[in-house]
Amino acid sequence: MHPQIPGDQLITQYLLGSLSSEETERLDELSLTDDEFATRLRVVEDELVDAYVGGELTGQTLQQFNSFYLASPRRRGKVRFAQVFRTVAEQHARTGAESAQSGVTARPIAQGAGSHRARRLELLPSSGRAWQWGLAAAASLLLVATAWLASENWRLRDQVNQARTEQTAVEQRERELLARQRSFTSEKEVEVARLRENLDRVKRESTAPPSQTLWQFPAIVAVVLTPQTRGVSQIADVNVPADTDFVAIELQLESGDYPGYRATLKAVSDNQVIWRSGRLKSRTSGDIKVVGISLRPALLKSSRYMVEVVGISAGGSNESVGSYVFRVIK
Amino acid sequence: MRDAATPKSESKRDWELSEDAFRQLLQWLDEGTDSGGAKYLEMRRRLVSFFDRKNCLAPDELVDETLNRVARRLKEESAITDTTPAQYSYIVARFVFLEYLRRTETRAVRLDSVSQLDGPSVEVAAGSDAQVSREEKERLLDCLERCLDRLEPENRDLIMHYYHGEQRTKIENRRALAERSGLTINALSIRACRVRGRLEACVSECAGTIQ
Repeated sequence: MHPQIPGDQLITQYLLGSLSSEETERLDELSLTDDEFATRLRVVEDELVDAYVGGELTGQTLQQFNSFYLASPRRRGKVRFAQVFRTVAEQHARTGAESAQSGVTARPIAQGAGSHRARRLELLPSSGRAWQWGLAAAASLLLVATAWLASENWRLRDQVNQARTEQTAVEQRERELLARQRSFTSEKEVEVARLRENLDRVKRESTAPPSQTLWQFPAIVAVVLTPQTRGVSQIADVNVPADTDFVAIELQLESGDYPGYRATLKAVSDNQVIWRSGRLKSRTSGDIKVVGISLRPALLKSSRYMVEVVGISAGGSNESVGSYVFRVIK
Repeated sequence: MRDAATPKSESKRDWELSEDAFRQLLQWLDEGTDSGGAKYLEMRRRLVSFFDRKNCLAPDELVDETLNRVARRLKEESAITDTTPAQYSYIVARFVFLEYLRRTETRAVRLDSVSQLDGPSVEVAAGSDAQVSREEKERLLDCLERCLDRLEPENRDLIMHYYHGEQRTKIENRRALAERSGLTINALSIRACRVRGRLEACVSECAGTIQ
C-alpha cells in the first residue's frame, strides 16, 4: 500500500460519515481515481459490515453505523447479505467439524445437490458393514438435527435483534430529517423578515426630505473569480472592510452558451445555502464571458464560501457550469 | 445512431447514448488496453458506491447521467486529454451530485408543506420492514445456495474458509489459507472481497433486492 492511502481507521470513519467535508471530499475523489484505495475501501466496508453482523461494534461506532450506514437501502441490503452469508459460513464450518468427528466423508453445502436449504449434507459411508453404516448414519443425522436446531435458534434471535436495530435506525433518521426541515423553515422565516426590514428601510430612505439625504458613493469591494478546478488550488482572499456597502464579484465563465445563469452562494463548512441570485445574463469582459453578482457584506463572515453557477438553457433546464471558492477576511 | 455532425446546440437532455458513443466510452476508459468492458463495469461500481455514500435516492440513475455526460463530451470533442478518465468521471459525478442536491433542496424548502420531506434518502416503515425481513431472509438463503453452486470450486472453497471462525480464530485461519494459496494476506483479502462481491451481485439479482 503506497504511503498516501488512508489507513483502515480513517476509511471506517469515512464509511460512517464522520469525517470533515474536506476529508470526505478527498476520499470521495480517491474512491474513484485510485485503484488501490478503491479496493481497500471495499475490503474495509465488508469487514465493517461483518463486524456489525457479528455484534462486535460498540459505542459511537455502533451508533454511527445504525444512524448513518443503515440509512441507505443498498447498504441495508449488504447487511442482510452478510447475515445470511454468516449463517451459511458457520454451517459450513460446523459441517466440516462434524465430519471430522464422525469419521465419514461429508460433502457440505451447495455442491450441485439442488437442496432447499444450506443445511443438507450428503454422507458417504466408509464402512462396508450394514449395521455399522446404520449406526453411523443415525449418529450423523442426530448431529445434523442438533446443528440445524441451534442454527435456527441463532437465526431467529438475530432476526429479532436486527428488526429492533433497524427500527431504531429508522426512528433516528426520522428525527434528524424533521429537525432539518424545521431548520429550513425557520431560516426562510428569518430571511423573509430580513427582506421586509430592508424594504422598509429603503422606503424610509427614499421618502426622507432632501436635506436629510446624504449623497455619497457606495463603498464597493470588487473581486474577479475563476472556476475551481480539481485538486488544491489557490483560494482567493477577499478583504471586506467594515464600511463596505457591496461585494461585487465577477465570475469568469468557461463557456457562455446559455441565455441565462443563476448563482448560489454556499458556506463551504456545512454546504448551507446563504443566498441565491435571480436570473443573470453574461457579458463580455475582454475576451472572456462573465456574470456579475453583488452581495451585501452582512451575508458574509470570515469564512470560506462557494458560488455555484448553473446555466439556464432555452428549455428552462439548469446545468452546472462552474463553482468558485473564496475566503472572506473581515 | 448519431454522428459527429450532430450540432452542439442540440439540447443536452435529448442526447442519447448511441452504440458508437458507448464503444468510444469503453475505449477511453480502457486507456489503450482492452479490458473487455471490465474497466467500465468497475467505474460504474465505484460511481454507484459514491452516490450511495451520499445517500442519493437512485444511485444508478445518477451514474447513468454521469456516464452519459462523459460519453457526450467525448463524442463532441473526440478526445478528453487534459485529465485521466477516472479523474474526469469524478469531476462530472461531483457536478451531477451538486445538481441533485439543489433539486432535493428546492423540493424540501416548501413553507406550506413541512411534512412533505423529500430528502436524499428513503425510509421504510419499520413495521413492514420486519415483516418483509423474514421472508426476504428465506429467499436470500435459497439464492445464496444457488449462487454458491455457480461459483468455481476453488473460489467457493476460498470464500467459505476465509469467513470461517470468529476474531482470533478467523485471523489464524486466514493466515493459514494465505500460505496454502501462495498469496499474501492482502492479496487474499482482495480476492475474497471480489468473490464476495460476485456473490452479492448474484444474490441480489436472484432475490430481486435493491443493491
